[in-house]
Amino acid sequence: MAKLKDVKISFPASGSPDVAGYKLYMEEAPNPVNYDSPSWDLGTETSVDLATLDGMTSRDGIYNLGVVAVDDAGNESSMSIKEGVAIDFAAPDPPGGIVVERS
Amino acid sequence: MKRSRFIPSAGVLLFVLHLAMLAHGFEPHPDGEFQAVDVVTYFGTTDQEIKVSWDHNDPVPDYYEITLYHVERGIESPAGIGKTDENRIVFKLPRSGHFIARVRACLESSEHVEGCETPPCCSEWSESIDPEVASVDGQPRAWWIYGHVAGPGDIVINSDP
Repeated sequence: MAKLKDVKISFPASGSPDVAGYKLYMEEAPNPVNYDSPSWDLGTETSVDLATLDGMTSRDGIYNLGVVAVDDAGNESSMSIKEGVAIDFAAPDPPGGIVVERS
Repeated sequence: MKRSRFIPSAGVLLFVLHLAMLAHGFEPHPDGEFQAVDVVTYFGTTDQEIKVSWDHNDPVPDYYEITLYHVERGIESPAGIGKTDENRIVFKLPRSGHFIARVRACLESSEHVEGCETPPCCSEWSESIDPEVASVDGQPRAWWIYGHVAGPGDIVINSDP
């Protein structure tokens, strides 16, 4: 199993009193991130290691990220967007078999 | 001498949305409708302060009571805004949705109030949805407030070196 480099995102919490959680949206650049982009529920956490999210891309690339606050009725806030984030969760192929040579 | 029944006539207890609220980002959109009444909707987020003011009643009451009616839930806001002896109040919406502001004037004692046996003696509610008592920019107009959940702050990326 490969060891992936950590890419953590964090953001200041919403100031609204009825926030039930947060949601991350992600889209490969140059496509704009929006409410139709693939998304992940973050629970009430305001920081997350992207590599730990189920179904996270394993494709290297430049991505546009967005986070929203969600209230207990399911309404989503305006999106806080970070564009042009380089993500590389594709580990290189492992080297070949180790050969031990005796001198 | 007994005062007349302590109920303000229409127009005496006015709502006037203070301009300071607009400076905080609440914007009016005169395109709403509520039960066939034209309504101005003030949009904003629930982390913003709202300032609502009204004309002092005559006679000046001991206090005013202010509540919010949550339209989608059909209930008074459990966070209800409270009481004040001033003719304005600053608050934040307790949650997202449409809210109608309601204000009434109250006296602690029933001594001089005809028709009130048990204090406090309060006027009927004046509602921001009622164009007879509500105003926008000084003009008679019904209004309500729509609060939306506020977004999180800017994303910060932290990568291993």
